[in-house]
Amino acid sequence: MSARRNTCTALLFLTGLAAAVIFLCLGLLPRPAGFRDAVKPSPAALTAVRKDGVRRSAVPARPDRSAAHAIRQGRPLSLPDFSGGVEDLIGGAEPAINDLLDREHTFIQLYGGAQRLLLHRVVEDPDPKYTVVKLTDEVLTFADLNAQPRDMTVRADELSAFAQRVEAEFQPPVLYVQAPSKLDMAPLPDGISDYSGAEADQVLAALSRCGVDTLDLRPAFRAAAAERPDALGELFFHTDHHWTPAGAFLGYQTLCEKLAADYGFSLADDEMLTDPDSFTRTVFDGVFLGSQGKRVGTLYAGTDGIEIWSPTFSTSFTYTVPMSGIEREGPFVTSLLFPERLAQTGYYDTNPYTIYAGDDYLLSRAVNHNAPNAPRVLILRDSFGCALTPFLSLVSGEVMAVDPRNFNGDQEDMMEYLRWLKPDLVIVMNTASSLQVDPLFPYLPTARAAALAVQKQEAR
Amino acid sequence: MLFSSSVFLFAFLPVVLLGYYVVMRGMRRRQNLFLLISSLFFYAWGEPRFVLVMLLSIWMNYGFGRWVHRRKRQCRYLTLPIAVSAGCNLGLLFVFKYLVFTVESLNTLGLGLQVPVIELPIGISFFTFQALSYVLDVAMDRAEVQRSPLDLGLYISFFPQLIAGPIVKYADVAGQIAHRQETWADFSEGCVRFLTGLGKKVLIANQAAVVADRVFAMDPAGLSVPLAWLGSLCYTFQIYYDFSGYSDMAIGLGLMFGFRFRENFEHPYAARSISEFWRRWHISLSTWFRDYVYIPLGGNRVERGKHIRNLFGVWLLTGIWHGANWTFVLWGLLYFCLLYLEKFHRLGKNWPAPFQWAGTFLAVNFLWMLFRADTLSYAGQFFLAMMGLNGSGGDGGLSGLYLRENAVILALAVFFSFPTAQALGKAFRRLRPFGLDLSPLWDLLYALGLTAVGVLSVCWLVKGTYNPFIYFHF
Repeated sequence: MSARRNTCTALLFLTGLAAAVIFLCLGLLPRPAGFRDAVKPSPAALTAVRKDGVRRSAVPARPDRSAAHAIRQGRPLSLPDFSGGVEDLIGGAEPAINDLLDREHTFIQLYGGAQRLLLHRVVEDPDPKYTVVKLTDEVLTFADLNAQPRDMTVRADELSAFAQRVEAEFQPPVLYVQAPSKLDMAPLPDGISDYSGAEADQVLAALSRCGVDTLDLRPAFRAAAAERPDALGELFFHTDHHWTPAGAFLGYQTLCEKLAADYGFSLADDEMLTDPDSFTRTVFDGVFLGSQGKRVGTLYAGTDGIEIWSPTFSTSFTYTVPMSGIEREGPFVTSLLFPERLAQTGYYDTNPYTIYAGDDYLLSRAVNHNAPNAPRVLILRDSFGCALTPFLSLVSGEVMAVDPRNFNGDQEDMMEYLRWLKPDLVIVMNTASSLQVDPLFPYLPTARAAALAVQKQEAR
Repeated sequence: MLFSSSVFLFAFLPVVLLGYYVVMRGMRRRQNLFLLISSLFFYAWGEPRFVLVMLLSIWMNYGFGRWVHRRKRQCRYLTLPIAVSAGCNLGLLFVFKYLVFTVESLNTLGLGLQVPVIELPIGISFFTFQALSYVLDVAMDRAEVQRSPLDLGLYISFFPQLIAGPIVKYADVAGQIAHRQETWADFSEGCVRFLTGLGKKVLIANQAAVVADRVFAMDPAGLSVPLAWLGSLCYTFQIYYDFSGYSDMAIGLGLMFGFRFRENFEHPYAARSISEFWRRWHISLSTWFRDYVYIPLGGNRVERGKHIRNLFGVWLLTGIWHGANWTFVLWGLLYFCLLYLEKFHRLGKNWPAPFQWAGTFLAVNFLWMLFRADTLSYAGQFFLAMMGLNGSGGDGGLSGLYLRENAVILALAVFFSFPTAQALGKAFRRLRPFGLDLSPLWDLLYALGLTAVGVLSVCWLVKGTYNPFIYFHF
């Protein structure tokens, strides 16, 4: 072997090793606090909420996951915790070192770049549910390569029973809205299967059989895909699983047709409120690296821009998030949207999607001062609701959005919530893949039991 | 602890290198003690409880070595100490590795015995054979008895070859324990070997493993022919790059500390006969059986019947050594059958070279499939799937997907299976365009390329992708 070649390699190896060790040691030093401290909820908001003379305890033991839940905390990453014993130390050391090494995300970037050079359309993930797959138009999606079809009968039956109970006890109708996903607009590559669409069909059919009203948004998106080849990239983020504001607006338009026709939402019939030309759209390019992009880096995924939709007509709202101490008043853009978040930097530390509605709060309330007599809507939603609820607020008197993942109670607690909030309409909205997520349905007995069992296991 | 892990690369290895070359520089006994403690820590990191088994093995074999030495001085027969040593070492191996299998197999005959719950200490097959090698080498006058239990402990537990080999015979390293010379040439060569092995393991083996594990997790009755073949070929490459990569890292680490181990792999998939394959694959194991079982039984210098018996015994033991399952036993015996046909019926001797290679590779590939299968029944069904006899139709594009996604990795796996890279390197170094000597350029490209391999390997590790290691369970 060439001595010169070996010497060069050894010197590079030792230099790299030394640099990595120094970099690791530097990561153990304290760093200044960051964004998370800035958005920490106020102590007052976390104690008690007085409502109608009834003192209610603060939410739940499960903390409200604010905008920063996906944001790295501005504090040094710590060594593995010794308190759990030697096994915890051994088990935690590898992830802790990897976290420290990749705190600037250089390795994820290089990894994604290598995947691109290898022409991979499928980027495997240690968690098979988060394997990233490239669809047409360079749009990414998650796919589970081990996916098997699931029987959604129990979920559907319990949803139907819940809806019927709500309608019987409180009379507000319940409308189940099936949100779309990217796979409704573009197929997965040959060899990868996804069953979430069929599972959603099963749930819709079961709800309809039990007399629960449903609205499927997916046909509107399929039609858009059929009309325009670039519709997928317009209605969904390239690097994130969510719909874009344009996609949410299409969903809102479709929902308004239903609300106007079947629920007496007179404002939903107002063309000005449902015409995209009534909004100015300001694009901020290259500011967003979504959930799929964060797993593979910008070299593989690219970046997304985000549009701020601003009504050209007059609006006035009060937007409150009781558990986070947020209260914002003013027009649509500055009350229901959080455009100031565009000032944050760092692809891996920000989530510009939360410009719409702020985040997945346990409870947020948007009061429309321009329509005090319009119907009040309670929406139990997954994260697709973030982009939809601001638009829905335009045709409602109040929109109360609940993210059930932050709701720590069971069905009885949810019924009490409904008694307290007194909505005129209850909407339950989920994407097809969310139907499998037990924490999104704590008000359904089987899902709650499954979620609690997982929590107990994780706590061990 | 795996070599291909961040804990090893960025915590353990830097600390050990610093301690060895900076803190303990020039103090051989302290260096050896430091390496011993580091090795025990390395083993305890993965197996906190089983480090006691390791210590028991060291203590036990130290005693056996002294016993053999005493008997030799007294000119007495060594049968008893060798038998006791072999019995204790193999007994330890039997209890931890084969007892459960034995009881379960007996229960299939209706005995109804209680099946014990016993965990397998990582690397027990390797360090047990190493320890036995010490006693046998002392008995056969290939090495002097080791008077220092710490130095013997270092030989048995030295972390580079502790959990996955190569199986280092005591006679090969006895002199190096106390009298090795660390040089920059060896150290730098060790760095090159280590990076080469790291790339083989992380960038090729781990990626091939993704496909192989997925295919072998499927019901073989539903496997299409292309998918079955793709799965078996991916496993064939996985096991080679996994094991040879680890051996490269082990040899490289040994060189970094002044130890020179023998090669364990010599491009086995370039072999043109099964005999040649086993001269190139896991060389340390095959030479161990040759030196301590085959030759003492007479090897091939006996009459035909005994020769066949010796071959049978070695291959039965080779199969059993690899695992406690009937699949491994059958795997070993099938190799015996092939070697018998080669040696006694000249199978393949007159074939053209390409057919010799193809026949060898196909046989090896089929037998790796058997090796990988969890049960004989699964192996049988998988074989039918490979032959297109399982009645399965298409695979919904899955084989095409895996082939497309892994084309580059598979191409690299094929390319580096043969000594083509070395041949290309030599040819490049001989080039003299316009009379210019390009070897410095080649050396620089090589160094940068290997560094890039290292960086990419770390990317894969940090991303936390699939990182199994097969021979871990031996």
